[in-house]
Amino acid sequence: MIELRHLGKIYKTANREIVALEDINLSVQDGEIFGIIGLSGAGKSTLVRCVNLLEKPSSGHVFIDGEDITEFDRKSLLSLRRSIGMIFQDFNLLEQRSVLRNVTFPLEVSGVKRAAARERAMELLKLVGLSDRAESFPSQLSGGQKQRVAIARALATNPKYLLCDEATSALDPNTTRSILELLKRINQTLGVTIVVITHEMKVIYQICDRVAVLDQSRIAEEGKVSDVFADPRSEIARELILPERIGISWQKTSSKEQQEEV
Amino acid sequence: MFSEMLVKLWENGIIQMGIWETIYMTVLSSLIAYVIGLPLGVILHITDAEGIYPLRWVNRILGLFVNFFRSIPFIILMVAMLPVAKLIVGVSLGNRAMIVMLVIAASPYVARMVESSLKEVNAGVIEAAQSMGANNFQLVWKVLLPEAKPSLIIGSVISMVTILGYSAMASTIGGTGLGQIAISYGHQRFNPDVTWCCVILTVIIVQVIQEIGTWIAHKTDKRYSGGSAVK
Repeated sequence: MIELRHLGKIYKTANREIVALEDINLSVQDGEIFGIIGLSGAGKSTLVRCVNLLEKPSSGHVFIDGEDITEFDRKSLLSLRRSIGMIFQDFNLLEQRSVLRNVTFPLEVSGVKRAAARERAMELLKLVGLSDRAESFPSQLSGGQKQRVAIARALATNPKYLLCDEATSALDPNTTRSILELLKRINQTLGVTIVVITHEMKVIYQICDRVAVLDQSRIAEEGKVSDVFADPRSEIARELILPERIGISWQKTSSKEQQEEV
Repeated sequence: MFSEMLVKLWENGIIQMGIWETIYMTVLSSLIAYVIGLPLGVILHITDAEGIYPLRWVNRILGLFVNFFRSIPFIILMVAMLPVAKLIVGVSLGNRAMIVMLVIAASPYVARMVESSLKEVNAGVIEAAQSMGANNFQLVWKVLLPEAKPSLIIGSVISMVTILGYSAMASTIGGTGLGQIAISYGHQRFNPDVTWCCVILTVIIVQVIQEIGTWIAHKTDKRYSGGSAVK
């Protein structure tokens, strides 16, 4: 379980303070897909980075499986990060490494032997449907393929949690859908708990169990996706949901005709 | 067509020797300058406020040190550093002293070249590696340096050409090479064709270094499918 307690983050610049997060309280249950939605600048990216302490919170606590990781020393923190996978909007693959060596990277970092790492990486590439591209380089892949490699890489160390920071925002609608399906499958078959950050309501609608709506550094609303969707109580949730609701009903009728991109 | 001097220099193998000395001085100095400059560049990069291990004072002091040496024109630095050369290699004249000078002048230059190559590495890739629990050593060794490799190679070519330029000033402290031939046999004894011969040979050496370097950089860069990326 991931628990955020009274989490706050303030960026200090030379002449002023910028509040990125204020009194955030959240729990992500094991096995669920939890969505965090908000407009750009709402603090989503900062929030997700507080979960693996890529950003250090200014106040509050982060509990992972009951342990307060804000009090971890550097060594425990590094080993904790190996149990939390993360994928990004821009994929962030190592451009000078082959697909296979991108996936073995986290294993190398945690000291797994080369042969075992390769075997594990091939397994994962099979899972994401890219076994035949193991020797390719990222520059030779499409956006969707790059994100699949990034997912394989994030799963290499068998993490319990997967953080997705706008993972589909750079992808076209078809590719977005296939990546979301992959994430859903990973959640269901491997039991990985997934935290999804997005500004697109349809991402939440398609795969999330629960959602938190972030507005101006605070949580405006939180609940089951079906509830929030049916009856958005906050201003910001209505703003995010209503135009999308129309969009999604349209998409559902037309998506069958669209071809699946791999 | 050629002056007697040029013919004599060629027949006695002095020009050939000059070519060799210029090349070996440049290559050797570049190698040593990288042994010193590469770690310096890495430290400058990672201790920066935006780096993976910000250390304000180390960065400041190192930056000042590098800027200090970079702001002195080579010909002045060379004269000023004569005692240092004597301390390190026992002599303050000749090629050995010259290599010390070249290394002193080139290391800070190399450090800045390395720093700027590392700056080109996408911050997102570093963050991704951090999210996987990579420690700082792994970030440098497995992410920063390999990802910056093509740019580092291009940078080393630029550094080598600069060092080659410096090496031509060797004759001032009794160093040898094409620069010395151009000055003492060409300029001082009024044989412009000797000077021009040295100029052309230097240009050719620079071109060769440049071509080989660019070729290697392109060959190792996996971002273009034209290189060895296609297997």
